[in-house]
Amino acid sequence: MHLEIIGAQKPDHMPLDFPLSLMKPLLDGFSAPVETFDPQKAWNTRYLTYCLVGNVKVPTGFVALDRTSAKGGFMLRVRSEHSAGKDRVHRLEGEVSGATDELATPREWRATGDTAGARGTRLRSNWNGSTEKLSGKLSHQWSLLDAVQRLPQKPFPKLSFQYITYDGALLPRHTLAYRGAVEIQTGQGKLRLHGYEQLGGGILPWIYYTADSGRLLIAVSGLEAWLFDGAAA
Amino acid sequence: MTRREFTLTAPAVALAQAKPQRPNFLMILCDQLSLDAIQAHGCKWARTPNIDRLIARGVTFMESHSTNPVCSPARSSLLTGRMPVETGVVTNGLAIRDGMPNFGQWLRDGGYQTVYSGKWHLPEGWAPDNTAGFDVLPVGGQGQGSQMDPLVSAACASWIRSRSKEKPYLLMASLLQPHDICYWCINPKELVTSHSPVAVDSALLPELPPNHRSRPKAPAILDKLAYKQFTSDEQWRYYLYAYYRMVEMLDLDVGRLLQAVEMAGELDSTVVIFTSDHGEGGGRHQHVQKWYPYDEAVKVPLVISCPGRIREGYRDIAHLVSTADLMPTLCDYAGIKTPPDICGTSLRPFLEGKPIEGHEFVAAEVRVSGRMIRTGRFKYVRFAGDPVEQLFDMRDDPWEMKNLIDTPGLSAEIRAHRKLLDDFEARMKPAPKPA
Repeated sequence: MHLEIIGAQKPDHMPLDFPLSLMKPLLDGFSAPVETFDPQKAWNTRYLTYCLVGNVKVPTGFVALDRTSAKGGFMLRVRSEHSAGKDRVHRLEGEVSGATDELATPREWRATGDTAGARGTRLRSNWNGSTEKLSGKLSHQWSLLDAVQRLPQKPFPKLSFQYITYDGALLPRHTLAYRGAVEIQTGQGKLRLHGYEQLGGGILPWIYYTADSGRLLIAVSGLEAWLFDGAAA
Repeated sequence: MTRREFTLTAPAVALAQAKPQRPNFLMILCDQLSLDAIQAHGCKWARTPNIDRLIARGVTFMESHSTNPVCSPARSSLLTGRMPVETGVVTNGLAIRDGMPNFGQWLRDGGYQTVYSGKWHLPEGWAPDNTAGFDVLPVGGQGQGSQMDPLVSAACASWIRSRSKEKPYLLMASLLQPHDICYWCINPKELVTSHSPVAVDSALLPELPPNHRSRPKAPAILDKLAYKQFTSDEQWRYYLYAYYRMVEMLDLDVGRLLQAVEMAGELDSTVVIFTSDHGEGGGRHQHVQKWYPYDEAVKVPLVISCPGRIREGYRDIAHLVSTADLMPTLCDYAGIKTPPDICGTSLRPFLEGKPIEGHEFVAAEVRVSGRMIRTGRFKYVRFAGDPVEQLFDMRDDPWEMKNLIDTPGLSAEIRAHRKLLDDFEARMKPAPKPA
């Protein structure tokens, strides 16, 4: 993998290719999508998820996103599954509706968690909520995945907001900023990625990497990485 | 006498009958949480509203200690009320010796539903068929807390909502965070760059502790534990930044658990206990992780709450307590006798506003051959076979920067602490060494 910084970065800042270098074993065979992508319209994407320590090449699960237009905004359906160890699988499915503004401000969401363990044991959890009684700038763990695909691919004033998790926890003092671009070498040639960095309470920094088309291809936070699943596309 | 017979002897039954409303217990055990990494304990780098909420409605002990600042030994002791040398779990990856009951077994025999979720590590990370005394929910294990803990808290919350209410319960939610920080030490080149991602806003990066560069005279085994992989203050500060985010992740799961008890309307009938197996170096004495008897590793949070039964909003700085005190405290509230030979003592009288005795010192084991004794003013440390001992004046030197062991004026104190430790060790009943 060849990494070349082509966007402006402050010299005292963590290099944008840093989380990508952690993913090198995964990116060597990575194929970027070639079809056209319009983040404003309906789309669906699937990611394989990985843990960046241990056996990095083995996916820990997947996250599938399916976006449609709805009620003057968007609806994002999410389905994920990951191993919770031997004989244990955790599934999460749900949806969030929101506005097509810069933070994909959520309106309503719901989620169902289902953990299946050995000997047929299962535990289910349900959550739902809305922003009706909340004030200030808001985004949501899932709707932000829609937002980063529609944001400018150039520096803009840092966005500040409260971040809502899939189960409704409200995390204050979050920010999202454009961090520049990097170029990586894939089997198909060079691929430019634009990086957005999310900082805030209760999370390790997330960096979301989008293609020129806006499509989110990679997301990294601490030991957790998501990589666009070309096979599913 | 079998364990069951011992538990249900007449006095125990009489006590239980006198208190028909035996409380539930929710024990939240986290992994590698420093006592001072909590906002309500003065930490300004992490936001912990849920742990703070628990502290506001209970008692928090500011002089609470692990019996061994390593996962498996600490957990063995917490579960049994015995020192690790007695449980046989003197280092990671060992099982509690046969015949020594944990509080799951003990309370189950005493009439409780006992349920476990999360990391076990005695010895397996997760062992649904080998977690004596507990029914095990289908999530848990070692690995990433960021992935596992939300599942554990959701599973526990789901169980609280749907459980049978025929019996009181003991539910142990064993969370992994902020233990994920270990990966940052094990993989420093991969996870901590020379420039942190938040360097442009350095106000976000925690300050280094005042004893960051302090390396007091120490036994040889401790001298080797300074962490040398970070070459700049910024790397250390980013390491701390990451740690405090993990503390906040933990706090979210504590909130999920507390909310389940609140939604069940069982706040005043559930004793919630929050603690950790050990602390985290956090850059103090150039340390990361644990494995040493300095306060950063050996002190742990201990919060106990049950509004209406336990005094609320009380911050105790006077009593030296230990995670070995949990077994007798649980037994006291459950109305059953304690197992024989435990070394802890019940905190219940103090929690209910009465005086307690037996907390004049606490002891800890370290790295198999090390021992620590902490009294009101001093901490004394020695390792078998090493001539270098340590004595710290915890009142005048709370950051443990000056080893006073060679101070002539303190020879009487040193002798007294050696004897206190000798006497304590003489009372131990060590587990037979494995063949």
